[in-house]
Amino acid sequence: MDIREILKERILIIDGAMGTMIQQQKLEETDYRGERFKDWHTDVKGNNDLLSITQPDIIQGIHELYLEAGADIIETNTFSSTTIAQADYDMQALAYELNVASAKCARAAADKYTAMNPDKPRFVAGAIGPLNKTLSLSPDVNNPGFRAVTFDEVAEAYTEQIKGLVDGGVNIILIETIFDTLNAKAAIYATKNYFRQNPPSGGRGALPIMISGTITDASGRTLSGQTLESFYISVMHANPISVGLNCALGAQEMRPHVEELSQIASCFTSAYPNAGLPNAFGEYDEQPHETAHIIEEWAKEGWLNIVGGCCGTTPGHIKHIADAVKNFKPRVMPELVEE
Amino acid sequence: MNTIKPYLRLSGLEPLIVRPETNFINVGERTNVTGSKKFARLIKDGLYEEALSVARQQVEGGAQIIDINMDDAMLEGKEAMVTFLNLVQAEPDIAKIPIMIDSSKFEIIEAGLKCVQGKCVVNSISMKEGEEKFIEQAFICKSYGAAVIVMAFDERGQADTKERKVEICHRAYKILTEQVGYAPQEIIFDPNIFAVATGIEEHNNYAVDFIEGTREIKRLMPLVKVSGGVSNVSFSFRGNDHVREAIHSVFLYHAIQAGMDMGIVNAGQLVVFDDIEPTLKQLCEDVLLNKNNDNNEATEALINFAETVKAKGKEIVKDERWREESVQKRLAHSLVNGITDYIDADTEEARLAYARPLEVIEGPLMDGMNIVGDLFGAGKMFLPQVVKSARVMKKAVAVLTPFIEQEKLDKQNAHAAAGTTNEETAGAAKILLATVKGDVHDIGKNIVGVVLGCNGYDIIDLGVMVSADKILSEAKKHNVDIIGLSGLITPSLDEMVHIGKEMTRLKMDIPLLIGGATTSRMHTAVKIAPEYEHGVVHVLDASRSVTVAGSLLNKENKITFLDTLKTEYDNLKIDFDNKRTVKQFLPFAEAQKNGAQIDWENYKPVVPLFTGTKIFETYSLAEIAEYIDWKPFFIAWELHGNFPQILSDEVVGKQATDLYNDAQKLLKQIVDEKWLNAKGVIGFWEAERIAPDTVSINKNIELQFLRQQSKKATGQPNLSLADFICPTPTKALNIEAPTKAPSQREGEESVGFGYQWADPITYPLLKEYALKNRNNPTDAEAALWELVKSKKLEGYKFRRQHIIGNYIPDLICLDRRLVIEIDGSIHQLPENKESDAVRTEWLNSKGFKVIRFTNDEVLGTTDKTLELIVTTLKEQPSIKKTNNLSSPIGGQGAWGADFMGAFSVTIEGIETHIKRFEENLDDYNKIMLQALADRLAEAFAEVLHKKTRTDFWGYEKEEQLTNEQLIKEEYAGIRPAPGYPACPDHTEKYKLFELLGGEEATGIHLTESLSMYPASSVCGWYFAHPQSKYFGVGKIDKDQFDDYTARKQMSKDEMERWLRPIIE
Repeated sequence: MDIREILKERILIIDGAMGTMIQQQKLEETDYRGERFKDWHTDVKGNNDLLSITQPDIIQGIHELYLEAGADIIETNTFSSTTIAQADYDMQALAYELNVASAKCARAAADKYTAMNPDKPRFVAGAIGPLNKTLSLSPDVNNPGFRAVTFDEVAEAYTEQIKGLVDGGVNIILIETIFDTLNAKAAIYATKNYFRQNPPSGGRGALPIMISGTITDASGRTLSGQTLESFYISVMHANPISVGLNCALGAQEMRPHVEELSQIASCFTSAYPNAGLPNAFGEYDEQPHETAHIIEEWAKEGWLNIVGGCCGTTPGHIKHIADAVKNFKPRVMPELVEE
Repeated sequence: MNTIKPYLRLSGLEPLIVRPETNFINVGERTNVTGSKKFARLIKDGLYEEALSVARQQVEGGAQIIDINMDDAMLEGKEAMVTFLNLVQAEPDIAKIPIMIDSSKFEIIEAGLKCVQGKCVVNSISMKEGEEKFIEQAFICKSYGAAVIVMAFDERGQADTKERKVEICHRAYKILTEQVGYAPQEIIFDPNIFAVATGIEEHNNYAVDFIEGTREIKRLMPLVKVSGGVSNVSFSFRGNDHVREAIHSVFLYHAIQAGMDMGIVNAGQLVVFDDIEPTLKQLCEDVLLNKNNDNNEATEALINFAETVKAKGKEIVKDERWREESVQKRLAHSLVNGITDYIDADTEEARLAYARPLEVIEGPLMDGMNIVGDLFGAGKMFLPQVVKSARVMKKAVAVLTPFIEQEKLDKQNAHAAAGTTNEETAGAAKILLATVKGDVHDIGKNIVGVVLGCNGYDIIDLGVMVSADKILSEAKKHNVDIIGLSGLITPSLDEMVHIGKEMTRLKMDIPLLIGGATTSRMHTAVKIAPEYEHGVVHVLDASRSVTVAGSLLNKENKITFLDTLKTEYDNLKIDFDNKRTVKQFLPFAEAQKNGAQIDWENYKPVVPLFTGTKIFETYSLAEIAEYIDWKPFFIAWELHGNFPQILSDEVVGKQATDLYNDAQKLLKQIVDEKWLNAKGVIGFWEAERIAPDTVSINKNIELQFLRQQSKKATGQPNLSLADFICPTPTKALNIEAPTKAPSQREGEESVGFGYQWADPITYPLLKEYALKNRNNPTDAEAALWELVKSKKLEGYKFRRQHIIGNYIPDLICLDRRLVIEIDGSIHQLPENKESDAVRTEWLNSKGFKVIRFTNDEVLGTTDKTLELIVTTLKEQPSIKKTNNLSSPIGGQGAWGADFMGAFSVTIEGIETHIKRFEENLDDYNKIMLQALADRLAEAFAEVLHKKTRTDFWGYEKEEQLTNEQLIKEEYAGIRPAPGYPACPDHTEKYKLFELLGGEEATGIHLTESLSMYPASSVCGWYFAHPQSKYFGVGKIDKDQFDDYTARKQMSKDEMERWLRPIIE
């Protein structure tokens, strides 16, 4: 069933944090390495994406916890699965494989739950993260014109990621946690070009794109300085099925931006905030019912089509959110009118 | 239901949405190497920094999109485009608007698209190389999300006729929308503007072709946009700007009506359509619309006219003509153009022509001022011109006043004679203006007074430092219709709240206007409006005051206006309250721990040339004038832009230049004739940071600072100015100080710099170890100590287990910089497992020599060991004898011996001159003088700061900075003022003044709100540390407030009054 049709009927639930759940497993260096990388020449602990190869059962298990909690869409464990981000572990050569493996973990989990309840089909979103290098900002304060990476390098890295995700069987391309719009534009560019050159077989169209930006602080702007509306205008050409916000802010802080987005977006809208703001120890304290209560308000206002959680959220949060919004109608897409 | 319309949406950091009511989009064109010689030269010379200022100037001048073009045979176009765009992205004041990437080479366009996060416009693509290439390029543009300009150009060439233009555009439209998938609103056509009046008959219809082509394009494809380069059309009249400007205006007038949406226009090269002389306008229309143009007749006529303009020179022609008009028109002309030369004679002439003198005011003079008001309201006149107009008006009124008075008297006498009472008719609405108690700043208020006066209001100006009581009693006495309050310093905000409360208590019902640099819409909405229900309005600047006053005085509009405003302010208040809960604070103790990270260990404070104060009784004004920062001067006149670019600004350049010339003239007079006197004082003292936010000056006066307390991103400090002063070690971390330094505990004499040499961060930990070691010596240590203690060894003084930096050497002779290590003992903290080599290297770097002995050497060959020690001691120079008392850690001064400075400067003697200008009814020069005095005070502060850096304190002896760099604060060290963001507590000014020798030193008087009188005064602290920088404390939480109140030993109520702007 086409996700666009379902989005018109009800608010869909996207899953919560992968990193938080992996942390709870208290994995050690040897767990990350597994058998295959036991002699790898750098430390790999913290390379969460690698676990899709070395500990696929754990990753699939986390996906299933979220599906059990009610998630309609689960995100692949591929936030850093690009040649650029994997260079930190000297694993750039594994980028494609990481994406395929992660997509498969998620695919298996989603298919299992769809089979159990075909009336609630589950979708896999291939997560494309923001990279550790930005295209609009100079890392060198003395040289504002300097760039650590080029558009072409970023687009190439994303193209490889997209290929892996598609080959692994995802349903959606999700470009998320965008703090530099130009990085996102490179991802959009890569996606469009990939599908132009590799049209999906069987007459199916290109995979739908979801876009999710990040407002970094109270200024209401992205890290690269754009207002929310500017950000949206800059990515409209992706013709996404949804545009939304995630990360950096808790639900409470995200509220005015979600409201604004619901006014200006000509596609479906999404929001998956963090579990509040981190405390002094970098931990998230906001309890599932607290997050859910705020998101419920948004649903009541009719602002959203997709909700879920980001950093610090758990299956508990997702369950509470799903329960809180289930009785509300999804946002009705604005009508496009001629003058 | 929510609807979304198919508008063209572009973005930089901020959105640009082209709505039907947007009218005409101005595309900035100066960042184009083909169009601007200056820009081309800057790019070729690699002067990108200056090239950015060209871009910035465009934005400030009102460009809504910025066109960037690097097409030059001498340039690596692609590289130049990428470099420039990357730099633009780092400048938010430029990057806020969308970018038009302009090149005839598609590879340059694509390279540019890869640099910009916002939604751009590509300028341009076309079908000149066929459909296939066009489609390919369009796909590429679309994959970057750019809107495209399509030139009306195909395989056969550029479209010149209407039909060709429409045909090509329509064909391109179909391809773009049907094959490439472009949304119609993202397509912008450029149907080619060609030059007319070239003498070639075929060219005569070019403008008509464009205008009519545009009309047809918009009819066929209503959502697309039309753009064009306007200056092409007048190309034949190069060198004759007067005619060109007229042609452009007439062309745009018609093209915009036909549907042209945007264009590349030099806004400076435009005259207002209505202002073009009728003859010229007619000639332009004929040429552009190709009317009366058989055999090039219209063209010939315009060329002939152009010749006459050229020959005569347009200024002189204009000048002569207006004197021949009617007296009413002459008065209006003088008013609009601010000419005082003829005003007395013309007014007198008018007085004789009208029945009553009052009719001259109500008639021609007010008519003239209405024109001024309208032009100002429409943005066609600027503040300096309006103030000049006001001067003309006042002079005219002055001519009439005696006659009006006489008439009144006659009437009164007549009434008296007849026994009837005198009933004056109601006059103009009255507006009372005042700068509130404790505040002495009134430039802004004076400007508002002039502008409102120009608009026919009767202004009662109570001046500065006016108490609430006086304001309100005067308001009642004069039965005023509006009260306007002004203030520049933060305590004035409270005074305004107080006045609002008083108005409620006194059951007043007239509106209250709030203005001045420190005020804001938010503060007005949150703090003042709730206190008074009959209308509190924040007025951003003088130009807004007219519309606000107009709305408030019109009975019908007033209610709607105030209702709308109330809703707006209520919403602001709600937003504010909501945001407040979001504000995240660190506990104060944590904020204190997260101060600036400064490596004091490697910092050598520089000793100032003198300590104490130095007074400058009469500093050279000529020298000071060279340091003036002109930008704020222009801002005072509501002309916004950078200096000197503003002088050549497209929109306000002329007015800015006139103003600048007038200012220079007056400045020269001030300097030459010594109207004013610059007086100042600076001082430097020993300073020591004795607590996280407390600095002790001369161990006598304790300065208290406030600290940023909001939660920061990881790695970002919570700053306090105190961070920039070297701390007293034991208190640095707010850890309880030991009762005695370790060396003293041993009963040894102190040489004055004992434990100061320790690293203050680890000292509290290390001292435990030091004490433990000292009480548990190894045999060898104990034996050697017995031999050297109490200066037994040839008078050399030794200490044991003395902390140096992070280390605890076994024995040390500080005077000779000698460390003795006995191997086998515990040297250091367990977690500090650096090798002996690292430690030795560090000690060496601090000037210490290290010698090592084994236990056996000490206990077995004791004599030899002692001999070696003595020999080495003799080789080492004595630091006491060389008078080099610098500690190995901190250099000169060492821990706790830093310095701080302060200054205050003032510009005296303005009063008599102000009075003279007032008597001459010359507001223009009065405001000019005030503005210049303010600039001189700031410039004086700049001069003294510079001299402080290079000479008096001398921590930057080699500094070579331009005035521009000074303005950008690129110097080392800072000069923050109490009451301003880095140290927002005004009351610290008392200490600053006390240190500098009180009010007598400079004659500056502190008002009860701690505003300084004379108003043109500046004061501040000096900090020298290279990491010191300006910042804003922002809001603070209750725990800091309580702590600060306790430190200041002030009552909570009083402290709250002073800190209100920064407490929640």
